[in-house]
Amino acid sequence: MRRTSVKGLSKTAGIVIAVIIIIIIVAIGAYYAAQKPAPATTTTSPSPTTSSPSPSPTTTSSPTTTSSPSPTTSSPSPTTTAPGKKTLVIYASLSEMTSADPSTEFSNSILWMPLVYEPLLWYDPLQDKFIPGLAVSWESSNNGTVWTFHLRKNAVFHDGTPVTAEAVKESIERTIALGQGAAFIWDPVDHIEVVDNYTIKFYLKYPAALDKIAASSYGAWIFSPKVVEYAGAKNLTDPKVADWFNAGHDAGSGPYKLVKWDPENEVILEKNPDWWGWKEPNYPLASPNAPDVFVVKIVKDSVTQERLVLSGDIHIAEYVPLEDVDNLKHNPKVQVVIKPSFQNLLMLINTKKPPLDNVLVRRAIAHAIPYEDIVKIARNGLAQVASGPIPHGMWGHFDNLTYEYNLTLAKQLLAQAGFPNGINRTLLLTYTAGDIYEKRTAEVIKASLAKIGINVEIRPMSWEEQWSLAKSGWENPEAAQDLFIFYWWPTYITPFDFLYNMFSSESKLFNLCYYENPQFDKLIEKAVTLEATDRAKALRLYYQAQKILYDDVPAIPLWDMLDVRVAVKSIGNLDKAINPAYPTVIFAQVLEVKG
Amino acid sequence: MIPEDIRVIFKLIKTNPVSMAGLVIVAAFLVVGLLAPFITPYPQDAWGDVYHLDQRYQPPSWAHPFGTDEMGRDMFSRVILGARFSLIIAVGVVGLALIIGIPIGLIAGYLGGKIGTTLMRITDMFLAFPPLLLAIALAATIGRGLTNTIIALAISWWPWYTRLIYVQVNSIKTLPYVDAARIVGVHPLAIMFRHILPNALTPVTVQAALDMGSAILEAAGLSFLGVGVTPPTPEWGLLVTEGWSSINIAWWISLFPGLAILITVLGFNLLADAVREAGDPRLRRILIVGRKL
Amino acid sequence: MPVSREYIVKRLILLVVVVFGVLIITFIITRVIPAHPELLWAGAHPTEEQIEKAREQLHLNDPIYIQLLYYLRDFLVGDWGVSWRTRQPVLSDILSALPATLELVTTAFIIAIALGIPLGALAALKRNTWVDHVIRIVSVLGASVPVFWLALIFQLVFSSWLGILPGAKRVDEFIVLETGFKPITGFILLDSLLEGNFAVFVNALHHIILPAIVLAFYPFGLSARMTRAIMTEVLNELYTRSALAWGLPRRVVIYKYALKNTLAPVIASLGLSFGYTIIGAFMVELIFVWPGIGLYAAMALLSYDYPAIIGSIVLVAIFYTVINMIVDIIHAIIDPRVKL
Repeated sequence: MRRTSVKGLSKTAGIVIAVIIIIIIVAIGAYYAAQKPAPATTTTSPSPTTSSPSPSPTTTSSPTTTSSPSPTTSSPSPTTTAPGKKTLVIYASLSEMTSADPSTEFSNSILWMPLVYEPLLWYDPLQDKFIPGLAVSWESSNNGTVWTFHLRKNAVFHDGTPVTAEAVKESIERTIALGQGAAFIWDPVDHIEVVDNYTIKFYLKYPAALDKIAASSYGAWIFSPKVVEYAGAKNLTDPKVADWFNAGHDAGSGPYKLVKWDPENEVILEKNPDWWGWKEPNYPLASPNAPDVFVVKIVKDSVTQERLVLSGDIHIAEYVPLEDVDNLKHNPKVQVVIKPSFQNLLMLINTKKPPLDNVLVRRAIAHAIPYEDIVKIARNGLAQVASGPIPHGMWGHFDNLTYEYNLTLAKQLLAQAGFPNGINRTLLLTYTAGDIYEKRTAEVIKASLAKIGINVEIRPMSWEEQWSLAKSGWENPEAAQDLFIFYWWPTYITPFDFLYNMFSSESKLFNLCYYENPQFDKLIEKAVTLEATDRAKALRLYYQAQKILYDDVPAIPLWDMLDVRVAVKSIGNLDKAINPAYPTVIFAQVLEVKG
Repeated sequence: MIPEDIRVIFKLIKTNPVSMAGLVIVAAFLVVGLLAPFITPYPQDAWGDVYHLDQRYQPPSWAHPFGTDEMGRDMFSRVILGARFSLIIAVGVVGLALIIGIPIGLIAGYLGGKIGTTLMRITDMFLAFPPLLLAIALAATIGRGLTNTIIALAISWWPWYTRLIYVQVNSIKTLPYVDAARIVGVHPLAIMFRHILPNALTPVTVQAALDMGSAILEAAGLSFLGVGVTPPTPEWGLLVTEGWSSINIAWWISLFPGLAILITVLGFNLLADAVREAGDPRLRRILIVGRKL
Repeated sequence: MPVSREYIVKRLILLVVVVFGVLIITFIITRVIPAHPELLWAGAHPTEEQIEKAREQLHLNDPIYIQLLYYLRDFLVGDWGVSWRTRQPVLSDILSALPATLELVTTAFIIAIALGIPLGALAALKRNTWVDHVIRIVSVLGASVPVFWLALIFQLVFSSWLGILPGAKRVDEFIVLETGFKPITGFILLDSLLEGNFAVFVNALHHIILPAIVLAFYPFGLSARMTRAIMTEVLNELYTRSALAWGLPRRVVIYKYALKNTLAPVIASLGLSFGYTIIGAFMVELIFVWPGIGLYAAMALLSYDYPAIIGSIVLVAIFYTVINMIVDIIHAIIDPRVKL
């Protein structure tokens, strides 16, 4: 009796539940049916068969949004040709922004600072030439110890104050006085003199290439001295000024203004119609169709960036998975721009810990690493096998410093060093946890060194951990790691930056090979002073220095990174907007927005 | 007592195909985990000691049933060896948790009073954290690695067993034979460990064995969040995470290790479910307060 | 059914005790276990000065119980440290990320309950048939699946391959820009409805579907299983049978008695599963780039941003405790048999 009644119950309940489910399904179906005509936001169809040349699937997601309200400020900009029609470019950055203080910023915010602030000079490292920034001409005298810059007269800060020699002096002096970030680049400067409103003279303690320093990607930005007033501070070095900057204010003179500062999510820049560069005929760093609004959107993984750029939700992706680049090259929706970067990966060797204190062992290791394989596996071919510690494309790079991959030679060297059967100790190699390129490089190295009888334990560590472990090696090399996979990129573009930081006996923070060679130290110190006066001779000395490193093998340069940017087709001039001297920057003022 | 319980459970499992499936999965996992180093088709691939430039990103095939990864290594071998590490983690976590949890529960239950209450209050504090959260905090503090992962998970795990033992001890300690032992003057420690513990152990060990699935799942979560085991250990969660960056061109790298986790944990959970469904109401009542519902 | 005031007061006192306990445990983990806590708090590439400053801030030169007092005070006044990554106070970071997570978790729970309770009831009514087995496997699956893996696979299949749903973010930027949408409460779904901004609402709904379904798996399994277990018991209980014997309509019996009786334990179980779900959100938000606490904490973990890690963990733990208390009280209201 009970059984049947329960069964009867179940029927009713079953019907009710079935009805509920049907309602849900119908609701979802109806919802989708209603969606169809509306702009599909993500048509990430990966099929490359659609031969339609239209850059993006829908009008709304095309980069030129025909939206009227400016993203944050409602102030209508009077100079836009068609009021209410603003062009927008969204650039996805992998990392969140850091600070907004032009004097001390030494990290990710470099990505937008060159759009808002200007230096005296820009440097194009691939052609080894300068582009005028706030200075129109410059000269050095007295053996490279006095530098004079003549400023352009039509440059104005965003607050309306003209850019004068006094402003330049105060900006650079603030950077020096605060002594943070990249302030060290100004070390050669003894004092700065304002000659007149538009002429400024730098007196140096020793000869240095101040033109390159002035074109540095960090610590060389010029800003309006009125920030003291805005911040309600006593003087420029008052912490209140930094607070004012970091609250999202800018005081630059560049082509864009900072209008929204949300460092974790997005930064919005709006065109500065009064920028001198728009009016300058043939100025290489300006385009008539530059975007009105440039948004830096933080998108923290490359897979998502790829998806978003394919759907047209962002216009330029900073990183896409390298494995996908080959496919993207054939995708009609996007363009792929590959440029050299000055970031390279090296393996630093603990030269004070046996058996690595033996140069023959180090050479054996250098010849046992399959460089080509590493580039293919770690970067999917998107890197160049390193030749010396100075990356490809940079002044001071030489092409004949790559170690040959030769296992026979490596085994011979090892035998010569007294280890015919390999090394009986397991070497510890550390790399930065979470970096897949370093990880893959480390795994290939482990597998390769095993072939000559060297066992390697690879250990991912946080950057801080491994760095402090490595630094402790100056006191106690036995306790430090044997091998350290390590990126380097220059603060400003000179071979000295690489050679000094990683190999000078004075550089205790980054010379983590504990390499000490007075002859090498002398060579590079000489070379850097000669950079100001006799570049040919400086180049020769840099070559000699690198040859010494090649023979001594304190570190093994592995690969020089190639940067890959993927953008929707409607963005023109992307190639020109990327400059390896200013990593991660897209010079939006150069872009051509079509549509 | 023990064989009787087990027999009841077995009888129940046999009648239910779904529970049977759970049993088969768990047995298979244990066998693979124990034999893993000897049955991988490409042992060097499994340990991450080699790379094959011409074999990268191969989709599943007869030679490589789970495809190959970005280094050209056979994913099937890596997943098989991963079972060994999952087994180590699972046994390590519940084992360590039992070692910490049982004495505390035993002492709290036997002594009772203020000491007992205090111990149990402290235990409850640990239970106030959502699962995994405490392990994340610990792992972030003490660093990554296999041992640290086990420690971090065990520290967030033991309170469950303390509670189980506590409940058991409370009911056993009033039994006449315990009183007898006390009157005869047996040392309290001897009473606790020799007379009470053996009789309180069954539910907690059954529960611990069934919890191994959850331990595998949580260890995988730690790996994904970057605070678990370190590469090149082929732990399943880590394998999934490593495949993330190339998921668009090689979905198999993430898919199969994830399926391995899913199936293994499912096996443990189905078995746990069966035990809870078991006819013995006493066992069921005890187990229902356990870790997973 | 009135719940005694006493019960609520007792529960509140217990809450304070538990929160205190949570704080002490985190204190031990963050300050006592590490050999050099100041290094963890000083950030990347610290100078000697910064390390010294961190020592000062953490009062590491004082005895341990004084440190604990400072720790508790800092917690109470909302001084949770500054994230290295964002350079913002951790508390304000977390609070601004909270609505996104709540929106996601709430949606997931709505999905879980809407499917879990009816399906669980169905399983109980069709005990030991294939319907029961399927529902049982599906619900056990919910507790067995690695949520991050499920998120990856869902994203791959539904977003990358099929392209039917967005696989990242909360809402599309350009829709927000075009419609001039300005969030009020931070709950985009709610705000867009309040403003009558239907475009944003539809867009946000689109975005929430995938992550919410992934997150719903676990609570769904739990509520289905709970409903099934309790429903089975209730159906077998004497009063139900006698109610049937008295000739009450069957529908009335099921809905009035059986289902109502399952409600309380189901709610209790959802309180428990809240813990799993919020941890699941850590991973799901990372994969779906959902800007909530989970993404914040996961990014902090991946970049070793220690103050942010600990801040998020403390907040989530306390949140969990509070939720459980609320669930207990609701439970007590529904089911007066519950005692503390």
